[in-house]
Amino acid sequence: MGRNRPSQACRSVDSETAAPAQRRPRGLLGRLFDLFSSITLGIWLLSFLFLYSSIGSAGLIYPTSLGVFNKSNWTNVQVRQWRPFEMTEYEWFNWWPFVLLIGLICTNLVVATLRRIPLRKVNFGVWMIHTGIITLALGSVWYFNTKIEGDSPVVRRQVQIVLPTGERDSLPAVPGAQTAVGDWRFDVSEVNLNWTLASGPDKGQQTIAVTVRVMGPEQSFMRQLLDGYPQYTEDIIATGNPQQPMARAIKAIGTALVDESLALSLETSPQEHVYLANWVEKSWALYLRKQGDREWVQRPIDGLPFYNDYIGSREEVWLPDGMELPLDPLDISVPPAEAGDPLPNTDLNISAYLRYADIERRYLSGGTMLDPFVQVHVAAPGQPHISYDLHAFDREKRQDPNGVLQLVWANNEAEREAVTVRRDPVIEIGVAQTGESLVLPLPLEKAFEANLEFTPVAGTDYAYRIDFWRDNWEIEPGQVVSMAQVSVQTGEREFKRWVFAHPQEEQVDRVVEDHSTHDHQADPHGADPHSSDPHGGGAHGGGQVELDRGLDMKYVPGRRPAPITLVAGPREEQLSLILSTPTKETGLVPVTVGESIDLGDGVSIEIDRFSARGGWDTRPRIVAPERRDREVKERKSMVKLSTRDGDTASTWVRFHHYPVRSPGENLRRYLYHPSEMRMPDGTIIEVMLSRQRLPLPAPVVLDDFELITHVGGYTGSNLSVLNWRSLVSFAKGDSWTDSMPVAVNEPAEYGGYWYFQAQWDPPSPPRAAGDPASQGLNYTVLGVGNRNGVGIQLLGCCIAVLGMLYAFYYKPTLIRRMRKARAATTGGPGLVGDRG
Amino acid sequence: MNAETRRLRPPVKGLVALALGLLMFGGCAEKEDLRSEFAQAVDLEDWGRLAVHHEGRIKSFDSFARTMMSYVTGPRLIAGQSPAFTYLDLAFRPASYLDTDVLFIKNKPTRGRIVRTLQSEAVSAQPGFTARMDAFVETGLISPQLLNMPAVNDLLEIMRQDLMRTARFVTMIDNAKAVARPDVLHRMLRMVAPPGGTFETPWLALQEMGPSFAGDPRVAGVGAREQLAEDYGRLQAAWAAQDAERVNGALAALSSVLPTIEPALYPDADRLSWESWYFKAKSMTWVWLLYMPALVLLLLSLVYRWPTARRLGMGVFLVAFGFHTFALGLRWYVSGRWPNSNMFEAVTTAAWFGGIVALVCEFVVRRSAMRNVFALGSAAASMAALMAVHFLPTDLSPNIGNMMPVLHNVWLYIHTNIIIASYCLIFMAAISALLYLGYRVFGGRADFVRMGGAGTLIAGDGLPADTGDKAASPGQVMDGVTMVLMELSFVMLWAGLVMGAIWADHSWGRPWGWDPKEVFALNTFLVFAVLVHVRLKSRDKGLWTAVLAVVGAGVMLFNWIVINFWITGLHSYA
Repeated sequence: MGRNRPSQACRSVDSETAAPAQRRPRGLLGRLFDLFSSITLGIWLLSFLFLYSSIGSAGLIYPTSLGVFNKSNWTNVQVRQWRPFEMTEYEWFNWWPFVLLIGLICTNLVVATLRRIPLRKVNFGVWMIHTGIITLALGSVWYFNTKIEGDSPVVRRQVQIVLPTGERDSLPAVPGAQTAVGDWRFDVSEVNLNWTLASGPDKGQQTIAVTVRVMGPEQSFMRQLLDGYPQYTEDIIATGNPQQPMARAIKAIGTALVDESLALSLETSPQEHVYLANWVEKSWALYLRKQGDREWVQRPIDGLPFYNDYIGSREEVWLPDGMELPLDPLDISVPPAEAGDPLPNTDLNISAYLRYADIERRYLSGGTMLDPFVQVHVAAPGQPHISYDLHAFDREKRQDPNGVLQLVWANNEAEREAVTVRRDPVIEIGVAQTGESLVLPLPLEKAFEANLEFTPVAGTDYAYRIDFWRDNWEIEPGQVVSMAQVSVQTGEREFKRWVFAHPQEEQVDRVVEDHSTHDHQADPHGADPHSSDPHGGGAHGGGQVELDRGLDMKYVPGRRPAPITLVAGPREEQLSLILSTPTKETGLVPVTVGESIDLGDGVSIEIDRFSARGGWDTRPRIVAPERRDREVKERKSMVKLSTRDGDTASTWVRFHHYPVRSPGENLRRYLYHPSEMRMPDGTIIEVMLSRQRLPLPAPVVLDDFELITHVGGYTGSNLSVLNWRSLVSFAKGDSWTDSMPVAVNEPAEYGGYWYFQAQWDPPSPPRAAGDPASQGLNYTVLGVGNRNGVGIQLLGCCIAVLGMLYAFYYKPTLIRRMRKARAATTGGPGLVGDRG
Repeated sequence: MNAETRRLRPPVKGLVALALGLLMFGGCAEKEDLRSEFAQAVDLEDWGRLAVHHEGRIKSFDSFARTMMSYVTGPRLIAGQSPAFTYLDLAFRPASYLDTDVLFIKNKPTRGRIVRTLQSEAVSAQPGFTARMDAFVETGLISPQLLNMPAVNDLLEIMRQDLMRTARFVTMIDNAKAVARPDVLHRMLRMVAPPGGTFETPWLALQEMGPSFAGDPRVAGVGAREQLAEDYGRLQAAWAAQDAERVNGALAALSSVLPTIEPALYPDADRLSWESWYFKAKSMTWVWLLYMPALVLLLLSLVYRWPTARRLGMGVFLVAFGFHTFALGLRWYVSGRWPNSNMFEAVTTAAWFGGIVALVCEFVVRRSAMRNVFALGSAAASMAALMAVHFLPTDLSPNIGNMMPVLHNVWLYIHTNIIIASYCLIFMAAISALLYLGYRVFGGRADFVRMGGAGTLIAGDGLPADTGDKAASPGQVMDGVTMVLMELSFVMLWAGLVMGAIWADHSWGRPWGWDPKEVFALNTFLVFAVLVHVRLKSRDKGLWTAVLAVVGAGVMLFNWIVINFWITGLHSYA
């Protein structure tokens, strides 16, 4: 250090470090005191803190092979999510080792500052930094130990229903929401956010129009409610006129309301609870109620894990292929916690937890039940293998979706042989006038043909034309018919007749209907089976007319095995195959499992599994970890629940994002599927898994919700959104506060809780056939939380910032001044003060 | 040492001249034009400066096409064509792209799996297949036809199942396929400002001018509807027929009409023109080529105390920084907001802050031996940052988009800018620390500045200039610079963290959420806290400081790269 000035010029901390060490040891307390005065200890503690927080936050990152420059050879595991820990980030940083570490650092900081750093002007900076850190730590203890964080969904409007009987109900004004009360059913078919008033003093104003479909005991109609304008409520009814199927009741029947005694109104929808955020701190709860009750009672769950699957037996779940899951059953007792619990004296017990699973019904071979099952796969060159499961006793699953493959069970030899029968459909016409009977065989396949000639019936003035026929026609889910349509002309009129075959027995049933053809005559396709439902004929075609007894018709459907038909039985191990393709027709050929049958053109079929006996079982199917969608979070979690004393069967209970009271109240994107437990006394308890809830300081309603966009409006991408703004009011005594805005970066405070804009209701397409689409904006989700001690934390941080500036930039100025002063008196380079 | 330096000078000078010459030559070398005759003859100059409405922004067509094509062709150009040309060509002549390698697949293992799949298919017998697959592995471009083969679809289906590892690559391929569809490309051409519309009214697509939309009330007000429909039809027909003259006529007709339909909503022509220029100039990421000679020259000046190199280096640095500032200002002007909302902007803006700090420090230390080292650190940081955005355009996309709603807050501006500025200073500190370590490795003395960085400068303990006998040792210079930068970043990182907490408290209701990015910013700070205290205890202060400064920069880079792109948390949109 030759060129440095003599080191004695700097009376550094090092020289002070030596001072306490030179004192005589003072026993354990003294030694401890010395230890906590040490800067080295501080360095070590800070290093441990670094390690602890790195592992807690990023987990471990390491290469799995030697190719360290290839990103895909690196793996990342989250230590805090391992089975012994099961901690969220928040929990990891609130765990005792962390608290201990912070405690040690603070002690070290206090002791070292007091003992080593004299409170002089030059050391103000260090003192401020250290004081700031301690202040921050104290504020954080308050903050993190009282932290409450959650969310509250608030629906903008609800439809209040008062039945003529005085019964009341409500449903959220969200498209697709539905409820049933008494003999009435209600569903929201549309929410129009931009309804423009067409008349009245507020003409031209926009408001929300909610259309409710009402299905009452006597009639069905639509009722339109306008937000803020109850006087404009009106009904819309079906007219029966195809030109204008729906009309305002005022025009059609002269009154605005079909049924004045049914009162529907739009109201705000108060939210009284906050649901705790499970990912901040695990906040699981069970919600229970007696079947038929409306309100849920919660039971918080203590000690339920979060990230891993815990099962007691591999037979209680469906495990994905290749997934190895240790048996690690849970034993968590969930006692009643609130008044009104439907089982006040019964503890519940959780024995299993699944992080990510779906409920699935599967077939298991074996057992005593006759339920024949075959698994086959079809192999074609250049195509992937396609596997099919066929169940002979299941109408849906006995054939593949295209009807090419079929499995049939034969109870005896005769039934087995009967499968091979190939017979064309037949229509039989009995002529009343002559007593004769016409038997008309029809080819099995025929496309619809219009404008065929009519065939006169000899000896009568009847003429007939067979329009179409079709076997095993699924006219609506679950309803299969075989039928023919015959057009009949008499001297004065023409009508169409639908002749149905009996669906099960192959005898002709006399289900015959006649339909007038007035509306059809111009349009030969009017009876096209592909465009209309024969049973609904009255609504869109000619009306049903009295049956003409002059002609009596029977329809006998054709029979033909499916192109590839497997016949099981009558012996349980017996399986045969019939081919009935355009190129190949065979009789019964015995086949065995593992056998590959050539179908021509290189296509072959192979039997993979066959069993005559088996049964169905419903279990959760655990989703393989690599197939889990991160965004799903805990929404596919479930627990296995039983009573503590084991007197009920255990059931799987699925997670619900919000424990709402009815499916009608459920928000569009979430599941509603409570489980049922049958108690020994016969009562049924409904139960769901969800998050703990706390009462809000005051119920909150959503007055309005605004979407503020960038140029060009909302395009479906969040990038076109500038902000979301909820206008909310809180209950205050018997009334409500003024609306206050809650927007992103613009929270509101009420009753000690802060409210944040957390989620919104985006426009969404129909969820299923018949479900209305949604324009969105029907509800908001507010983040709710407290923030005790934030002010203290901030104060600490600011003191530390000032301290840093002082220590780095002001202290040298002080030293320069001192040096100058000393140089003026001694004429040489001066001493320098402490450094921190 | 001086004698040694003098002896080295001539060859060094020659080397520098050679390097600069090579650089100039490389920059000017003419590239062969791969474009078809038609592509060369089509004039998209004016068309590229028309406005398109896309995701809540009005962009120039050039900028819009670049964004859209980056989903399809990634960072590649197809046959040397501009993205604007490729966009229109894909829309108007989709059939000619069926067997053209145009879809970009970023993930290299995925490319390999697709090649192995295709090798067992009949297509592998085609002439030139092997060369084509080699090109695919190299460039990532493959044709829709090959990608749609059943075997490849099966492979992608399998990959789609693995949400943890491969599903997102398939999603990217799906996006590429979807965007390349002509109906999508036509629908996205929202170039007609809605007449009488407001700020929130969506713009209209050119295809909506056609007769099938005539009854649509949104279209009804467009006075020139029929003419637009005709011109657009003419453009499509001429394009399909490869008739450049008629294409140019139709383009010119549309270009003159479109801005006049609703002038009140139509953006400023200058802005559109600059936006097109900005992207044609490749977002000016090539400025790294200017920072490189600055870095080389400043290094020479530091190592050999060569005044010419110092002056030249500072000059080149200033020029480079000028370009850098211009690029930033232009981006600000084009996007209408300070550029700090995506990774591209964060990286380039951080580097620019480093330049500003370096200039201020250079002014303060202009008479001290520390001079030029700050500029050197900044040149290294800026070069690294601009190289990153230049060579990794898919990870650090230069496309301009809107900010997420949560980012619209004054604290965001303060918080993120202070944090990224401190990150740049940490990087610069690591450069001087590495120089110090290099100096020690080559036998330098264990020197350090006793008063820290700012202290040394302020307390009159300043290092003398490198003249006369009181010359400061290189160890002192480098340790001093490291400390100046470390102290600055220490304060700024802490202050930035605090402001981030204020912002988070305001936006999310919690000042601190133990989000990985927060935790690793805190970890970076912890490393520097350790550094400050180790400096009190250690004898070899310079060595420990340098080592910990490098470790701190490593943690910072880990945060920026690994945490950002891999272990995503709440901050993943930034």
